[in-house]
Formats: sequence, C-alpha cells, structure tokens
Amino acid sequence: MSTVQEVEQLAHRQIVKLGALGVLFALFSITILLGKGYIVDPDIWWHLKVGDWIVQHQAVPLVGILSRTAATRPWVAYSWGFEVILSRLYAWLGLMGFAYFGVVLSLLVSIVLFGTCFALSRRFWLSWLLTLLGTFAYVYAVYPRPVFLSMMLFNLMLCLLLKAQRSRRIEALYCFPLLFAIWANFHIQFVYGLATLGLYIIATAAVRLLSGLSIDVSALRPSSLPLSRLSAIFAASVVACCINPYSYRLFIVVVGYARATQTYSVIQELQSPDFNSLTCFVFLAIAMTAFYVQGFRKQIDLFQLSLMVIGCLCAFRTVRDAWFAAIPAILLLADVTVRPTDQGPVFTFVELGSLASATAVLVFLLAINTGFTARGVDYSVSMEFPVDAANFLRRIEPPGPIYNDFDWGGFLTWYLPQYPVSIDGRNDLYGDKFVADYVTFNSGDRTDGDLRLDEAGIVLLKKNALLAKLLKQDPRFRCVYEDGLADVFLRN
Amino acid sequence: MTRAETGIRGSPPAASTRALVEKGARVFGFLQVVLQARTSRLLVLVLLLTTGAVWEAWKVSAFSSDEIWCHLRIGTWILHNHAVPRTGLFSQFASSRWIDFSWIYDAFCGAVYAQLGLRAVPLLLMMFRVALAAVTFVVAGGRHNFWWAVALAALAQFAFFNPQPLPNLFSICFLGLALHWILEARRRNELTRLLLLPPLFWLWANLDAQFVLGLLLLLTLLFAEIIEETLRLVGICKTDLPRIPLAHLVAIAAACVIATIITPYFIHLIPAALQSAYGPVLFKNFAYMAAMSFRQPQPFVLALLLFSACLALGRQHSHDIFKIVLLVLWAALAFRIQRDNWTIVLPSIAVIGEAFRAHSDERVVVGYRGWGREGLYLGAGVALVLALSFIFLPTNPRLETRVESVFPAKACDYIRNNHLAGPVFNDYGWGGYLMWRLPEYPVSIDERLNLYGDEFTDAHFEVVMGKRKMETLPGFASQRVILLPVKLSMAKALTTIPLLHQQFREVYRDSIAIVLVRR
Repeated sequence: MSTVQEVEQLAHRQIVKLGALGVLFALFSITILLGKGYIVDPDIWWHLKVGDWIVQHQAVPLVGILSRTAATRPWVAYSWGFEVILSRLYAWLGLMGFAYFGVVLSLLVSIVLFGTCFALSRRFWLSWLLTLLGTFAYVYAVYPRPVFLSMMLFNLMLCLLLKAQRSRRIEALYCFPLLFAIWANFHIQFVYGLATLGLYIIATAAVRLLSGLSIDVSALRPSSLPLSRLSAIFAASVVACCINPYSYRLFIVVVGYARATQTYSVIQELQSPDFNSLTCFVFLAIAMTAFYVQGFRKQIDLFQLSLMVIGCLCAFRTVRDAWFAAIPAILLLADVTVRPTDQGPVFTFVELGSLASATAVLVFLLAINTGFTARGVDYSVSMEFPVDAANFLRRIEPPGPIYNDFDWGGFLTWYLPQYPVSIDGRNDLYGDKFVADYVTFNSGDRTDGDLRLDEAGIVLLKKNALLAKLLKQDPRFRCVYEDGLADVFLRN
Repeated sequence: MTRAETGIRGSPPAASTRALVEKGARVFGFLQVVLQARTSRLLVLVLLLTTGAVWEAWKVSAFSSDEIWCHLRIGTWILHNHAVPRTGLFSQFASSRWIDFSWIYDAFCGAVYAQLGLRAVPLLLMMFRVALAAVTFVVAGGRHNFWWAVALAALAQFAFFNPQPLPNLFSICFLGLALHWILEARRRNELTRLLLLPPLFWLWANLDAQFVLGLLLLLTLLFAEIIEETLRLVGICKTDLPRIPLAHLVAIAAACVIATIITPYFIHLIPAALQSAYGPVLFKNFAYMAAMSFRQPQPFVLALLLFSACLALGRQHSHDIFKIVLLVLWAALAFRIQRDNWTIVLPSIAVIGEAFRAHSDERVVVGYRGWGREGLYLGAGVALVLALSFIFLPTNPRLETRVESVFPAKACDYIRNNHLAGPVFNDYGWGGYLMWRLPEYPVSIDERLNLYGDEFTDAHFEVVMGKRKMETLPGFASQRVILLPVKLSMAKALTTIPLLHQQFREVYRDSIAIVLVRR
C-alpha cells in the first residue's frame, strides 16, 4: 500500500475526523482567549448597561439613556435581546460570565459554519478547511457582539436557501419568517438576510424573464423554486421582522445607517480592510477562489454571483461586513455535487459529546495559562479601560458633566453611571455628523467653541490624545490625575 | 432539461413581445454593421486615446503633486551641467550620496519646460494619458478583441485614479508592455517578443525606481514555469503543448537583470530603488502606502475587474499557473498598497481580454492584417486632438496663478525679497516646490528618500506631528527660518504654545503658508 493510500485511509477514520474537529475548535478558542476580544471591545459595555436597564425597568428604552448630550433624542435598542442575555450572564457569573459568552459566541459562529459547509458538501475535510479559512477571514475582524448572531443566522439562512434550490423543495424555507422574527430582535443586520432573499427572488425572476423572451440563458443555472411562494415567504419575513418592541421603526434605523457617511471615515471598524493582517488576505483569497469556482462551473448561478459581488463591495467598504462576502463565498465553495461516497460521517451523540468534553478540557487547561481567570479578566479590563481614573473620580466626586474619549464612552456608562457620557459607541443615537465632529475635535484641531467641552466639569481622555496635550496648556482646565492610560482634567 | 423539470412555467412569448424582440434584433444587427466599420473603430480609438488628455487640458490637474517641481529643477540642472547628479543637489544634505532614478525623465522634463514654460507640465501628463490608454488597449487584447479591449481600457483609465506627470506612469506603461509580450510569447510559443524585454528593462531602470516590479513579474514567470515543469515531471500536469524552454526564459530574465545594472549608478540602483519605493518609513508615514479606502468608485471598479478576471479564468477552465499566481500576487500588492493598485488592473484586463478573445468571433478581425494606413490616420487623429487640446491649455501666467493658489509662492517671495538668513526648515510636502522656487535656499527635506534616509525622514515626521521635540531633529537648531503650511499642527503649536512662541517670531502669514524666524 502506497503512502498516499495510507494517508487516505487514515483521513477516513472517524477518530481522526473527531480529533481534527477538536483541534480546529481548540485553535479557535485559544485565538479568542489570547486576543481578549471578549473584553477589549469598547461597545460591549454599553450593551451590558442597556441590558441592565431593560431588566431593571422591564421595558425597552425609547430615548438616549446613559447619555448627557443625547438624553432626549429618540433611540432604538435594536439588539435588546442580546443585551438582556449579556446582562443576565453578568448578573449570574460576573465578568467571567461575560467572557464565557464571548468565547462561546465566537465558537458557535465557527461551529455553524462547519455545520452548514458539511450539510452542503457532505465532505468532511473540505468543510474542515473552509471553516478554518472562513473563521480567520471574518470572525476575528470584529469583537464578539450582536453581529455574531447575524453571522450565524445568515449562514443558516443561506444554507437553507441553497439546499432548497438544490433539492427543489421550498418547504425548507417555510421557517424563514420565524428565523427573521428572532433575528430582528437580536441585531439590525437582519436586513442583510432580507436583502439576500430579495436578491434570490430577483435573480430567479430575471432568468425566467430572459428565458421567456427566447434569449439564450443556457449559461445560467435556473432555479426551480416557485416564485409566488418565494414572494409570499419574503413578505411574511418582512412582517415577521416587525414583531419586536419597536415594530417598523427598526427599518428607520436601517435608513439612518444607510445615509451615514462621515462616521465611515472616522470609526475604525467601519473603515475598509487595512490589509495589515493575514485575515484580510485570507478573505481576499477566498473571494477570488469563489469567483474562479463560480466561473468553472458549467452554469453560472446568477444569484450566487450577484450575492458575491454585492457582498464583496460591502466588505471592502467596511471591514465589519467581511462576513457578508465571506459566508456566501465559503458556501459557494462548499456547494459541490454530493457523491454517493460522501454521505458520511454522521457523528453519534456519544462521539460529539466526547469531542465537546475533550475540547472543553483542553481549552480550560490552556485558558488558565492565558489569563482567562476572574483576576486575569479584571486585569485585562484595567489595562484597556480607565478603571483607575474612574475610581479616582468615584473617590473625589467632582461636579460634572463629563467629557470623555469616544472609545471609553461605553465603559463609562457601565462603570461610572453617575456621570452620563458625552459620547459612546451608539452612532445611531448621536448621528453621523456629531460623531465625526467629535472624533475630529479630539484630534486636537481646536479646543474652544465646542459646547460639549465648554460645558464639561470633568474631562477624561486617553494619555496620548492630542487634545489632552493641548488641554495641559489650557488655562481653563487643570490636570488632576494621570496614569499610563488616562488623563483627568477638572475645570478651574 | 425541460422547462417542466426546471420549474419554468412561463407561457410562450406573446406576439407583441416577439415583435419587440425582432425589432431589437434588427437594431442590434444595424449597430453591429456600424460598429464593425473601420471608420467607427478608428474614431472610437481616437476617442479612447485622447479622452484622458482632453480631460487634463480642461481640468489641469497636473500640479496636484509637489514632486514634479523636483524633477523640473533637477532636469534643468542636468541640461545645464551635462551630468547626472550623484549628491543631494539643492538640499541641506548637499554632500550626501543621492541616486536619481529618473534622470532621463528629469532631463526630458527640463528640456520641454525650457521650450514651453509651465504649460509643459500638463502637456507631459496629456502625453502620459495617451500612452496609458494605448498600453491598456493593447494589454486588453487590442484590435484582435476590439470592442472588449476598448471597454476594458476605458475601465482601466478610470481605475488609474488621478495620475500625475511623474515617472511612475512609465512603470505602468512598461509593466503593461512586459506583461503583454510575456502573454503573447506564451500564447504563440515564440521567443521573439521576449527579446524586447532587456532593452525595455534598461530604459525602465533609468526612468523609475519601480522597475523592481518588472523584476517581480519576471520572478513570477519563472516561478510559474518551474512549478509547471515540476508538475509535468511528476505526472500531475499531462499537457503536451509546446512551450518555451525554461533555460531560454532564465537567460532572458538574467539579461533583464543585467540591463537594469547598466545605469550611471551601476549596482547601487536596485537596493536604493527598493528602499525608495518600499522602505519602512514609507509605510509608517505616507497615506498612499496604506490600503485602499473604498470611498471612491475607482477601488470598486478595480475590485470588480479582479473578480471578473477570476471568473473569466474559471470560465476558460484554465489551470495556467502563471496567470493564477499573477492575479494572486499582484492582487495582494494592489490591495495592500493603494499607490500600487494599478498593478492588478493590468493583469486583470489581460486575463479578461484573453477570455473574450478565446470566445470572440474570428470574423471580427478578418481583413485586419496590420495597422498600415489606419495607423497613420490614428496617429494623425490623436496628434490633432492633442494639438487642439494644447492650444486650449491656460497660458503660462494663468497657470502660475493656479500654482500660487496651492503652493507657498508668496511666502517664498517674502523670504527672498527680505533676504531672510537661512537655512530654512520646510514641510516635507513642499520640499520639491521650494527647490524650484527658492533654489538659493537648500531645503531641509523633500521626497528624495534615498538622500535623507529612513531615520531622518521618520524623525522629521515625528517632529511635524508633535510626537517628538523639535530640538532632537538633526540640524534643527541651526535652522533660522521655518516655512510651514498654515494648517499644520506644528505651525499652530509654534504660534500658540507660549514656550515655543518665545523662540520663534511670525513674520509672514497668508491662507497657505506661515513663515517664522528664530528670535
């Protein structure tokens, strides 16, 4: 028996496949633990605080709670479901619960990706490889937050759509209204899912229209799903998206985001991929491969091609949306003809349980050596956010209001709630221009004529911010506290 | 597969629909006849080649970059002294070694300027734009694939965002030519065209530091050939198509490398070119070395070109390793460095052009044996449009006024007229202009990175951005005049922070520049 045959035999063994999955998910876990994304995200804190507020008031907020400058402006907590879960986990398990949630959420994204790849291809090693590449392409581009639920639900939705197209059975899509009802209560990017479903209908209709006009569309793959029922599912899904505390107003938020321009230039996660890390190149390679494979197939799927083009344009515009291109690309690569020999493996519950246990133990052993303890998490928070400066303010209780750094607003809503913040990560609350002006102002171009600073009794800024350097020369303020992270100024 | 099987249940088209389709077909047929006429093609080609030039004549964007002034000044010096510069002319580092990568272009600039004055600058850009259009048309398939080549060349023109009359445009043209010759040689399996590469590389090495990209292209070719050879040897690749022998390719690549050494700077050129084009200081301090920002339509067009090229390769069921590596490698470069985003445009349009060419109807090119008289008409048409555009260019005094609205002309005049004692500390972005406008005051820095070195350039940027104390910058203590953009943070600091205000006195200010002298 040749070496190649031996390797092939080995690759087909169930235990090897289970081990490979264990290694894959352990690798992802360690990457998440080391990156500490679950704790360094500046926005996760206001999600937590809003969750606390909802639980405390048994209602969803309608105005800009926790903010000084936008307290009376209307606001929609479109991730309220996520925020309540986060709040309860913190209440039960403290900061560690918070951290577990981040790790589990990130892992779930990869698990769903593997599951959908395998459901489409029935090929273990292809799914394994695509999950590895896909996870590196988009999961680590953002911190664990509600968008992860969008990634999972979009992944699931697209897989169901592709499977329905392949099997020509639309029944699998009847669950879409339910899926969208859940999605709309967790994250605003449910509109991406709706848009994808709409695109499928348009692509299907376009191919049929061209075919009806006797135009040669033999190069295009036809869809056999009935348009009328697809449209009904789409309409039901739109209605389902309104089943939430804010009803149709979620769509108004979407319009607001679509109109924003200036924040896309100043907020880091809304900017284009910087191609300074390997993940960006992995994403580019996946996209290029997907286009190549789409071309290679006998018939081009107009829907898949359009989705890839739109997804890539969105992903290049803002790095946060890398998943919107990467998931279609990966599922396109996984959408191969299933061979009779590719029916396995279907793992038993015992096997999957053993895998989960072994992976959990491995991750636990590695985690305690990477600072994933209550103390380690506390330390990470204090290294990233102005814990000591906030403690100083708690101690001396100077008169407010506070003027804070943009990145720290979320943390301060949670840690220093007695001082409503001047800004935080809720761009939709503050508005496009306000956020852009604020960030520009902090770059130190001018220090007067800005009401938010003129009103401020306390100024809390990052140590190396240019505005902090200028304020040290400003007779209106005195620096009362500084450490390696933050400067605190009080008005004279 | 029948309609019932695919679920397509549409009824046969109605009579009115059929009439509409037939009418459309007739219009399409008429259009085809018009478009295949040689006169139409000539007109379209003239339009393609000259649109960019006419646009430039109308908009005059050639003065957006500061670098052109340095080339004009050095070119004038070369013509005056009949020598190639080897030290830091017009700089406070006058005795340091400097390599002028573009000495031929500089001399050409100087000569054109001597004849035409400032109008030479937009004219140079107009000529470049014609050359770019021609090269992209040829790379995209040229007359063998006419209409697709025109469309792809037009898209490529659009993707080359805001070109300036600088030597890097030679790199775009030469890379396009090198790529075209390589692809043609591989397609026809003949070596002749590759023999043009060594002279091209010689000229390239004397025109722009980015000739190193040409060397990268050769490396890509050799790498792909070696991989294909290896795959054939182990039996994975079973093609028996005739190929250019690897030894011949290696010999040509070696000749190209040797040709790049035949310059006034001999073996020092390649390391200096790498430092100048891809040094770490560039990545740290220059926005154009960052990735594309996708806030303008051009990057999206570029991305769509790349993905279309991938799709086209797939449609051809191509396993051509050279093309695949070419797309992957140059895509990585283009997406990482926005200055080099053009590097993916050329391979993309070449691959798409080839795919269309493979599917195109050969009747389209029947009778198109050579340029002959048509080439003459084309040349005459382009020359006529260029000449007319040149006539409509603003006059030299008007151009001077335009320049004064962007660069610190009045501040320079103030320094000169008041005989302020130097040396002058200047902003990086104005070094070239000061060389041009105030040659009697050597600049403290300009864009000649291989003259100043990474360490000094980095220190300069840190000082200007307020990250480092001014006194720590070598030579700063001796500089008596400071000329800065009025909006620069350093200018604000010097005029507002009391400690600094005590050391410097503001003597001139306008809407562009501020001049301070040491107290």
